[in-house]
Amino acid sequence: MQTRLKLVAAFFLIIFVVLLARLFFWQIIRGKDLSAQARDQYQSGKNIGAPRGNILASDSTWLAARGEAWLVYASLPDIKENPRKIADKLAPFFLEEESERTDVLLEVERIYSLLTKEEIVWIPIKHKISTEVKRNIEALGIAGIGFEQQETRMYPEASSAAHLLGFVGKDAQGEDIGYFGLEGYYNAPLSGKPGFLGRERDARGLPIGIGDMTEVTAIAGVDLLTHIDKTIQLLLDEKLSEGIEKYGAVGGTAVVMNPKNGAVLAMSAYPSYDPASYSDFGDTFFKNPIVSDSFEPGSIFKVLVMAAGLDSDAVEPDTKCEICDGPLKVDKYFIKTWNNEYTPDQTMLDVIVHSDNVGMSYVGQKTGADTLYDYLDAFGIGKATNVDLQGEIEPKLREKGTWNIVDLATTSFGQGVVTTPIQMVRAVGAIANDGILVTPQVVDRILGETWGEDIKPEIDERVISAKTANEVTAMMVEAAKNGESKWTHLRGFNVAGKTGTAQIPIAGHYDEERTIASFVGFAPADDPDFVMLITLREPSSSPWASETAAPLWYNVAKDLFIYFGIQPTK
Amino acid sequence: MQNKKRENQINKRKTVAGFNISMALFSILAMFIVATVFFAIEASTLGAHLAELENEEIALNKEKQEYSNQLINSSSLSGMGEKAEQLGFIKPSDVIYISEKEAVAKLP
Repeated sequence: MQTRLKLVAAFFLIIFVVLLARLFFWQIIRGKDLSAQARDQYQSGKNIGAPRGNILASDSTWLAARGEAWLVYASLPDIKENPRKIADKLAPFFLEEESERTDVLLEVERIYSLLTKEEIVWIPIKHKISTEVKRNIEALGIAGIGFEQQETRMYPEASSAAHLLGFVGKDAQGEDIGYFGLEGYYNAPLSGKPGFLGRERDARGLPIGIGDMTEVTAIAGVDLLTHIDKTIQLLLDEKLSEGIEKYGAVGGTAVVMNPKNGAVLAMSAYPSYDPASYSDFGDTFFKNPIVSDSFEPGSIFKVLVMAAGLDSDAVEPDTKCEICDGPLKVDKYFIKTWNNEYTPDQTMLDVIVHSDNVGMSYVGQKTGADTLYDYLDAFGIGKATNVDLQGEIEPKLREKGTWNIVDLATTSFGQGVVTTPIQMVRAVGAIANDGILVTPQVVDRILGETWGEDIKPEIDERVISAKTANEVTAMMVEAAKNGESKWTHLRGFNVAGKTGTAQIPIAGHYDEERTIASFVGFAPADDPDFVMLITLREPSSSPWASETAAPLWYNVAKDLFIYFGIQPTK
Repeated sequence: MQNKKRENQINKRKTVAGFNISMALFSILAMFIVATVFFAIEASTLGAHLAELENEEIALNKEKQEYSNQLINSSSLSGMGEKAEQLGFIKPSDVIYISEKEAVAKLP
């Protein structure tokens, strides 16, 4: 009896130990995995994407808008058909209509290789297809092919203002990120903050009303209301493109700004690209030359130097040039006029009208290198304008105190000094704005879901006196009327303008043939509605701005006068 | 005899009291079961309703997106320009400014 009892007790003990060991295995060793599996079964979680903000024109219509797109994926265990057949069916949907046969075959191979990958359950096949393409693929009813919603960018005005807007690409983690222009500069506020929704679900996958729920609300990206006027933007795009073709230039830029508050009304640059299909273009197309390229401004720079001379009392408008009777020898160089014609004793007004390099060298000498440096620095030359666009460069002025007589002479007529187009517009805008510098600004207002915030114009310090600004304006009016571009001047309109033809420095010397032709001006001269700069890179029909950039400027201005309601004064 | 009678009475009372307690416990248990079933059904219905609302939200968002796309595309200025051209509108090629003093369409 005792033995039997002992045997039963031992049996129960063994069973107990076995159970304990089994319990240890499930609870301790496999515990984490099992609880994770259980969690997967009754808990579901999904990331809530934050919709990217829109970029709006000044009339609140869209320049860049968020749109709907789809990711096509394959769930490999669910695929029933032959992968080759599926690839044949899908490939035509992922290519342009006019794609060649070789492209189709390559696409078929790409899809086939994805569908036949081993040890993978889920694989993305194509990102960002349109809803229409999705519907067409769905109609084929291919088992194992699914769709996941994505966000895309729509550009209702196509490639217009591409450099200004930038584009939305992918970062290293495959997340959307803005590059260049406004998309790059305002990427963080445009992106918003994604959220998360975690919830307990029953066996049928339905949420349990009284179950645990974790919700982090997604914060949508803000909308940007810009100063961009679509009418002016489209006009500028069209005219600049025509001008580049007409004058055989390799590229060009155009900016229209309100000189009173710095509002950038339009900005265009060629060659351009389509932000909706940015991957079809090389990196060189993305950079906005208006903020990211420097150039020697040439004669358009003379108005700034003259402003410095007049404001520092080094010269007066009627001061006579004492050295303008012939080429000026500076060190081992001879400074000549553009047409090799010389007018002795001409006034400062004539110097600007004739765009006389010798006369400007005289102004430079009278003003002095340090004073000239101070004025150029105050005009914002050599430093960033802080325009709200990504990629602005700040080509430096030669350091104060290191200018030699050649530097002083060449800078006086805009050679040997570099600026960006946006710096030039800003500086000339200060002359148009009675001597007060403003910061160029593209975005006017930031709009959240329930709030809005104005971005106040940044009015900087006075650079020159109102008197000097008026004197330089009068000189520019005279230059527009009677300078070398007078043939293209619109009679009766009160335009202040200046041409500039700058040779391009190549390998330590200036190329005789290749130039950058530009025209900067504002109208009406006494109370300007806009200041506009147009540059043409290497025009082939004529190297001179008076025969290329100037007529193009007036061609745009002619339409702007109608749009702004500017009428001829006489 | 008296004692036995009293004992019977006490036992009877005890039985009645025990029965009452059991009944009460049973009732509570029954109520608890009914409540559990009721809340389970409610929770399930609520979950289904929540899922329905979520699906409705998705459908409405989709519809909203489609209308937004239509609006965005139709507000395209370049698109409108093309349509205007198709309808025969042209841009003025030459603009004439008339002075205020000059008579315009003056009657004889």
